Amino acid sequence: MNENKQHIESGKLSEAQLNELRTLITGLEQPALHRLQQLMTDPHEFAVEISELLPFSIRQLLEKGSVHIADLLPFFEEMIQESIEKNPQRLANLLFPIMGPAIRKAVSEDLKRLIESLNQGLESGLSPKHLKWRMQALFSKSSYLEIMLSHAYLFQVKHIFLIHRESALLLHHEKAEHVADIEADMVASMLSAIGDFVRDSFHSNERDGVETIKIGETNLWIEQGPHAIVAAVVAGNPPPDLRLDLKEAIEAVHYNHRPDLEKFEGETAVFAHTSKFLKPCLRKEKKDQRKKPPYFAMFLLLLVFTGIGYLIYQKAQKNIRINALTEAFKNEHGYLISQTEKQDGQLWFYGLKDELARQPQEIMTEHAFEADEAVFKLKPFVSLDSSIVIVRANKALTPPETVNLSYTKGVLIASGTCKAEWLDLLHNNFHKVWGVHSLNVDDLKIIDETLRDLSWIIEDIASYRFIFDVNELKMNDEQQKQFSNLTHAAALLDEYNRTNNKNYIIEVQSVTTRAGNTVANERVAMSRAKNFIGFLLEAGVPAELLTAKVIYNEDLAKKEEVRSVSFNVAEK
Amino acid sequence: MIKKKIAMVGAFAVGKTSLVQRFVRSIFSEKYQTTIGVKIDQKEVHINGEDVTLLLWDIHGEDDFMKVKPTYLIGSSGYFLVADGTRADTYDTALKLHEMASSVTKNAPFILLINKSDLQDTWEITENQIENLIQQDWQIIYTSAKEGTNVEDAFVQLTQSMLQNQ
Repeated sequence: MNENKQHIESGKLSEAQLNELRTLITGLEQPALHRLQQLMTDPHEFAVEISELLPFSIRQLLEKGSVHIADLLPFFEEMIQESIEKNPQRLANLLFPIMGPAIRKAVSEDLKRLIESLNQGLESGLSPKHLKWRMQALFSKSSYLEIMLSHAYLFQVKHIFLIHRESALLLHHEKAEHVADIEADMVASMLSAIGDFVRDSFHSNERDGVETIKIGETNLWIEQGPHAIVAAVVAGNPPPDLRLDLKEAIEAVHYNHRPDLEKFEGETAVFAHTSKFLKPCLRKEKKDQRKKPPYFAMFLLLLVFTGIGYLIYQKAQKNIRINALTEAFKNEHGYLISQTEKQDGQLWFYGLKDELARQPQEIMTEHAFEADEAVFKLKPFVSLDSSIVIVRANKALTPPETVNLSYTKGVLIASGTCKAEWLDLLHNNFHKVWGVHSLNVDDLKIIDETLRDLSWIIEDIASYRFIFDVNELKMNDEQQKQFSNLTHAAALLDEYNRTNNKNYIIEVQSVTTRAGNTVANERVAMSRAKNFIGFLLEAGVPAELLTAKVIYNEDLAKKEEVRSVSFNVAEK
Repeated sequence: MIKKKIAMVGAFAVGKTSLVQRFVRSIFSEKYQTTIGVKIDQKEVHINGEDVTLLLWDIHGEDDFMKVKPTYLIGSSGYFLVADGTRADTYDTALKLHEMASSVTKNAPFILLINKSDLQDTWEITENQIENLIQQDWQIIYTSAKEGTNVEDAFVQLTQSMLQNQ
């Protein structure tokens, strides 16, 4: 207390008093005040402290709306700008692994549109090749682009080199199967040398590199990375997406081996693992060599089969013909075939033949055989086949045309008409015919010669016709001559009746029509017939031989027959 | 497998190609040197139980018409400077090329090969000149492309230096 009094009296405060006073003023204990002082005096510690608070503070500020993102953007933009200006390669290296996929995606979309546009353009192409492809597209129902690409893409990636960019040393090499070995190290180095040469010669940008070298059908595609390059030796025309594979490979190599690449001192063993990134680039795509159907072989086969088929057909046809002919001879009346055989391309028939049977050549012709295709060794015999017996009977008996002969089971059947003389001949000779044991003449009638005369008279009388004018019954000179003949025929008929005790009469038919008064017409017609009968009676024809008859003409077109008189012979 | 890139530089016609012709595997003709200015050869050496593949960039000799392209030296782990003992000017060219090569390769190991040791009587490069370089810690080997003298040894020594420099 005394000490405090002394300090107060001296105007000075002790350290303890000052601390007490600080605590009273700030409300903070001594350690807290000490920490604050440290933060104020040590920037590093202050920065550490602030770094813990700053993200939270910024978030709070953004949430409160005190600070907008737009307010912070300039700082970041300036930072990035300064970084790029200072060392653009660094940022490029950092972004390299992620830029590739992003760029590819964008490029892929553009490429797609470009291809579609290209397709449209090409679709209008009218070169013969394009027209051929178009036809293929049409017939295969594929898109034109697909056809075009199938013709364009035929390639094989033969080698993939991973080359250290700075030293040009080969880090890893992959080659396709069945591809010859090459001096990969030297090739890789020379490849880099060529790249250097091009760059130096044409003053290209240091980071630029040769992307494509094409020599004939061989393409060299190179994809550059910051520390390494991938080079692909491709035979043929590689598709654009191979470039994407190469990009992915070089990106994967950088992503996984960046430290190894940066500190590369010549040890390449570590890059053996890059095989898994490079091997997918060893692509090959052949034309869709759908095997064309072996048209030629098929044609030849078809030809052979057709030939064989034809020969078989010919053979079968020949056999069918031969069988048909053989069968025909076996069935032919008058033949008895005991054996057939083929000799020297000819068909030989052995057996018996009736002399009345048809000649073999006739039968062969019916079956389209030439005469020289068959040889016949046939001995004569008497056939009892019905047709042969009939032939034999006809030959032996010479029946008149009105007689028909048939034969069955040893019986010769004669039908039709014949004279009594031939019937006598038949009875006397039928047994001389081989095969005929008995005779049947039930249906054979003897011809009556007198009846034949009557037929003549009937026909003659019926042929006369007299036409008169209306209400007239007067014959002109011509009619007088006919009338005279008619009376002569009537006299013959009368004689025939008397000779043969027959009652044939002559109907004198007067023709009229039903037009008008039918009764009157009939009366007139009857009167005309009777009047004409009167003429005949006057000429001496017996009355019992005549009768009058009216006939109606139903056909009005035959007007001339009306008022005519005609004749018919009938049995009374 | 260790691989190293070695550049071979020197004046025109000092015998760079002849020097290595019998000792390396080559698939490219010399026309590449006159076209793109370099041809690549390969040399295998076995050092300290380890196989080392050397890719030898035989760079076109510098003359009035064609300068050595520094690009070809980038990434080299070592290089040979080649001079013709019978031509004094090749010594100067070697020194000049060394300045460039040292810079491009970031002070990579190198050996000065003074060729045509079989004609040492007619050398124009003096012993003083050589001594001067030795004092600057230059490694110098006399070689003869014609007789094959020290060629193999030169590769081994440079490779050892490169491996030590890793």
